[in-house]
Amino acid sequence: MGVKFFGQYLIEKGEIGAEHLRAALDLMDQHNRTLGELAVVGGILSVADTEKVNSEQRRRDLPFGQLAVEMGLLGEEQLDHLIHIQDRERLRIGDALVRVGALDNQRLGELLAHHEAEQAPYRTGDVALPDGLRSHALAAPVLDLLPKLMMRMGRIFARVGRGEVAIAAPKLSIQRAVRILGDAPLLICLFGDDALARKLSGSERDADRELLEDGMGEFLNVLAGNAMGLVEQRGLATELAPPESGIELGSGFLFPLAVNVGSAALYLEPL
Amino acid sequence: MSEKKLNVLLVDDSRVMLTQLERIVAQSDAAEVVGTARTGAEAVQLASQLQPDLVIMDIVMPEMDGLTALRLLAAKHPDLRVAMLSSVGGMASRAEEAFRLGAVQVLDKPIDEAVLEALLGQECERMQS
Repeated sequence: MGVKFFGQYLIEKGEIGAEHLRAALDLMDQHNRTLGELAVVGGILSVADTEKVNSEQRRRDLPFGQLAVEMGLLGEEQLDHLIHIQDRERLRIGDALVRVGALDNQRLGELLAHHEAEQAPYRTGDVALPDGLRSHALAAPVLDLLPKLMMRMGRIFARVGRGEVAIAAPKLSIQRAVRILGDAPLLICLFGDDALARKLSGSERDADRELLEDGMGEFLNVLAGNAMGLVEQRGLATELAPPESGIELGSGFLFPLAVNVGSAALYLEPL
Repeated sequence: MSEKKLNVLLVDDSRVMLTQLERIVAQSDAAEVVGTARTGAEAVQLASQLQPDLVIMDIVMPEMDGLTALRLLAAKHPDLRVAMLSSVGGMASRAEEAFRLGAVQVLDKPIDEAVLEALLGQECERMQS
C-alpha cells in the first residue's frame, strides 16, 4: 500500500476493469473544461489570449492560471472565480464510473469510504520544519512519509530529528539523491552507511556498491513519488527525475535520522 | 500446473526492484520470467524478440521512460498486455496517462506482493481462456 488514486485502487480490488477506467477517463475529458476554455466561455479571455498563454506554457512549464495572471491577462479574483467554477463543475472519477455503468452510487459510497480509510496512514501530520522549508509544499509530506516507508521497505525503525541549515555533508559512505521538478521543486538527498543501504536493498550479504546505491535510490524514488501523489491532490504538478549521486550541498537543511540499523541523514533543498 | 505459464518481461532501471520482481514471479505458479530490461528502449527491442504475454514496466527510467516505451509497444504490438509499475503510480495524472495508453494495471511501489500475484493469476487465466 502506498499513496494510491481511486481508479487504481478500484482495479486492484477487482471492482472495475481497466476498460471501465478508460471509458470513465474519456467521459471526464469530454465533460471537464480547462481554465482557458472556461475563461473564453465566460468572456474573460479571447481565444487569441488563451493561445498566447498556451504558447508561453510550452516555454515555461507553469500552470495556465499562474501564467495568465503574470502576463496581465487575468486578475487574481478572476482566476479564483474560474478555479471555483472548474471545481464545482468537475466530473470526478467516481461519478464518471457510475455514469459509464461500472459502479452504482451505493457501491461508490462504500468504496470511497474504504479508500479514504486505507489512505489515512499516508495523510501527513504536523512535522516541525525549519523556517526555510515551512512554506514548501513537499517538505512536510517527505518527512512525514519517511519513517512509514522505511518500515515498509526495509523493516527499519526511523525517527526524523530536528532540521538545521546544512554546513557539511555527513560522513556516511553512500549518498543518493532525487530531484522533484515542477510546481514545488525540491532536491532530496539520503545519506546512509553500508548497513542501512544493505537493508534497503534487501541484500544482507554480497552486495556490491552499485546495488547498495540502487537500494537507497529506489527508496528515494518511492518516498518522492508518494509525497508527489499527496501534493498532486492539492493541485500541484510535479515531475520526478531518476536518482543521481555526487550532489554538492547548497542552501538546504539536514535532518538527522534516528534509525535502528546503521546511520542515516536526510537533506532537503528547495530548488 | 501443467498448463502454459504466462511469459513475463520485467523492465526497471533498478537492480533491486528487478530482483524483487523476479522473486515474486518465480514464486508464482502462473508465470515465469522470460527476460529483463533496464531501459524502455531495451524493453521495446526485447518485446519483439521474446514475444512475452505480459510486460511489467517501471514508469520513471532514464533514457526512455516507461510511458514512452508503452506508447511504442502499443503501436508495435497492439495485443500485448502491459502493466506499469511506479513510485509515482499514486499520482492520478501519471496513472491515468498509463491507462489511456493501454496499460492493464498500474502497480505502485513499494510492491504489494499480493496485488502482483493476483495480476499474474488473472492474466494467466485470461491467456488460457
